[in-house]
Amino acid sequence: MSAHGLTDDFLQRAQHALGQDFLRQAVRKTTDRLRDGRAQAVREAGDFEAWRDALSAARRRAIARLDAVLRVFVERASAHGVQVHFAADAAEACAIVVELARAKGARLAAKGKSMLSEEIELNQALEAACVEALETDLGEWIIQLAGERPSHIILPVVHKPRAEIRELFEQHGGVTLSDETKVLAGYARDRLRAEFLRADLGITGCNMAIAETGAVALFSNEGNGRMVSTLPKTHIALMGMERIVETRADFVDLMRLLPRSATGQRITTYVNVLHGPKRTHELDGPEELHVVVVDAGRSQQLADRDYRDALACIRCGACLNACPVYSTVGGHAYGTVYPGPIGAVIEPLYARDDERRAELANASTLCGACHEACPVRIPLHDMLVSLRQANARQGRGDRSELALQRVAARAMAVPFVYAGGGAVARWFGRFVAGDGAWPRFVLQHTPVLQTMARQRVLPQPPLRAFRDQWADLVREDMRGSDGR
Amino acid sequence: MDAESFYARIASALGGPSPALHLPAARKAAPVAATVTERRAWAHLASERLRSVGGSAECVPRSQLAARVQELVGGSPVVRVADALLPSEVLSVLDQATVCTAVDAHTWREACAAATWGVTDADAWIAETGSVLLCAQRDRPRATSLLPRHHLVIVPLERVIPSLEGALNAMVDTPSQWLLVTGPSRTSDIENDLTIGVHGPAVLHVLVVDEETD
Repeated sequence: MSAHGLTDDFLQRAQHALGQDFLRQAVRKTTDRLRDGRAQAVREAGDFEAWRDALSAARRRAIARLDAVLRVFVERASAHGVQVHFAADAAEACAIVVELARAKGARLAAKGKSMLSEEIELNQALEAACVEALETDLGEWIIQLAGERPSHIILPVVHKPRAEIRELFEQHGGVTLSDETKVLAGYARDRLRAEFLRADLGITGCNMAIAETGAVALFSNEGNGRMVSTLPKTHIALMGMERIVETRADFVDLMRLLPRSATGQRITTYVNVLHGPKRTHELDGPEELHVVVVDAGRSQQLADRDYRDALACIRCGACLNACPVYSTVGGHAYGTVYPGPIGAVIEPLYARDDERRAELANASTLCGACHEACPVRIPLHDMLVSLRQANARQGRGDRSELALQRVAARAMAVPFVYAGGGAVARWFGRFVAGDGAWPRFVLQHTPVLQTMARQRVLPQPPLRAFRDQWADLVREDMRGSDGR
Repeated sequence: MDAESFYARIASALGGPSPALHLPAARKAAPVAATVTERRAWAHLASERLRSVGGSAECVPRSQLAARVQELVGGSPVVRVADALLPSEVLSVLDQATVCTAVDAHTWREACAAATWGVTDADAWIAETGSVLLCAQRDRPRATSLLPRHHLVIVPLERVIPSLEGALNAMVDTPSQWLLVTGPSRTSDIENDLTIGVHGPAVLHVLVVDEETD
C-alpha cells in the first residue's frame, strides 16, 4: 500500500489490526455474512435494480434542491409541533443539545445509535456539561463501557470477543455472567430498561426525513430507538442536513433498500416515523421533539461537483462489506468515524486540510466493488481516484515514488526507452526478489522499493516481457481456434 | 444559526437558491379493494414473512377468537388499547387479566412495564414484509406494544394489504408516530449471534380475524 503513497499512520493501524487474529476473523465473518445476506435479499427481490434507480434519482433530486426541500420539511414539521434547530458545525450542534439539556434540567440522556453524534462528539460535550450520555444500542453500549470507538457503522462491536463483553458487564454490574449471547443480551436488557424509564432526554439520529409530511424516520432492530423516542419527556433527533427525501413514495424505496443493503433483511424490525411530539390527548410519547439539522462540512461537499453524489449516501454499510481492504483490516485502522470506502471519500471532504484523512483514499484497491454494492450507485471508486489525483497534485505522498512515476511516464512515451528500461527493471526486479544478503541489502536501501517491500513480498518478474510474449500468444490462440 | 442563514449556505453551495418547491400536501390514495380470497392469500404471505423473522401469526374465525386469546394470554397481566379498538368478546376475556387500560400517564407507564402481554389492534398488516402498522393515537398508546415482553396483535382480515405503499395513506394524517413492527426485537451485535428480545418485545403474535370462516 505504501506504493500508493500512504504515510505510516494508516499502515501502522492496519498492521496492528492484521496482528489481531480475533479481529481479523470477526471482521471477515461479519462482512461475509452481511454480503451474503444482501446478495440473497437481492435475488429474492425481483425489482431490486428498479428500486435502486428510483432511490438514486430521489436522493439526487432532493440534494440538487436541498435548500427548497429543507424549507418544506421545516414548515410542515413545525406545523405539527417539531422544533427545528440549525447547526453550522459540530460545536454548534453540541451547544444546541447541551443548552436543551440544561433548560430541561436533564441529568441522563439515553441515546439511540447515531453516527452523527459520534461525528460531532456529542457524548463528550454532554459529559462536560454534567449530563450523563448513555448509549443504549447493545453494540454501542458495549463500546461505551469499553471506552472504544465503533468499528462498523451497522455492527459497531464486531471486533470484540464475547468473553471480553462478559468481563465488561461483570465489572459494570458486579455480577457473574456466562458467555451465552442470551445471558449477555438479557443483562443489557434489564440494566438499560431502568435507564430508559429514568432518562430525561432521548437522543437519536435520523435515518431519513420526509419533506412531504414533515417527518423524521428511525430504522432499528433492537427497539432502543423506540424507547428513547417514546419514554423521555424530550426527544432530540440529530439529522445530517442531506438526510432527506421529498415524498412518501421515495421513502418506500428507502424502506426496501436500506435494510436489504445493510443486513439483507426485508425490513428492519422497527421503522419509526415521527411527526412531532405526543398530541394533547395521547397518553405517552415525548412532550417535545427537537430536530437539529447539522451541516458540519456537508455544504462544502455539496459545492464540489466531483463529490456531491456522496451526499446521496443512506449509511447502509454495504460498501464496507464489499470492500476487500475493509474486510481485511476492519474499521479501526481507518482512524475515522466513518470507515470503508464511503469514509475514505467523505472524511477528507469534512476536513480538507487533514493529512490523516487524505491518506485514506489510498486504502482501496479501486476494484469498484463498493460502487456495485451501493444502493444509490455512488461512484465511490471514481471519487477515490479523484482524491488520489488531488493528493498527488498537492504533493502528498512518498516523494521518491512521485519522482519514479514521473520518470516512468516519460519512459513509457518513447518505445525504445520503454523496452530498454523494462529489460533493466526486469533484471533488477529478479535480483532483489531473490534470496540472500545482497538482494536484501539493495532492497532495503533503494528508495520506493524499501517502502513497498516492507508491506509485501515482491513478485519475481518473468524473463521475457509481456510485449515480447505477445506474438507467441497470438500464434497459440490461432492454433486453438483452428482446432475447434 | 438561524434558518435563513442555513438555507443561504446551502444555496451558495448549490450555485444559487433553488426555486420554491411546490410539493402538494400529502393526499390519500384509494384504499386497495380486494376480495376475501385475495386478502386470505395476502394474510398467508404475511404470516410466512413474519415467521421468517421470528414472529408468528394465525388466522382465527371470529367464533373462536375469544377462546384463542384466553389460551394465549392465560391469567398473565395485560395492558391493552382502549375498548373501541378491540372486538367486544376479546374485552370480556381480557378484562379478567387486564392490569390497566389507558388512564393517566404515570400509572400507565408503570403498568406497561409490569405487564406480560400488550394487546393491540393494528391499522394494517402488510403481506410484502409481514409488518404490523401501528399509528399512535389517544386510544392506542405507544408503550402498549413496547414495554411488555409479549405483543399480541388482533387485526381483522379486511386490514390485510399487499404492499408497503398501502401503509402510506396512514401517514397523511401525520400521526405523532407511524410505526411498522416486523417481528420480535433482535440484535446480532455480539459476535454476529442473533438474539431475540433485547429491548422491545421478544414475542410478536398476530391473530387475523376472519369473519367468514367457521
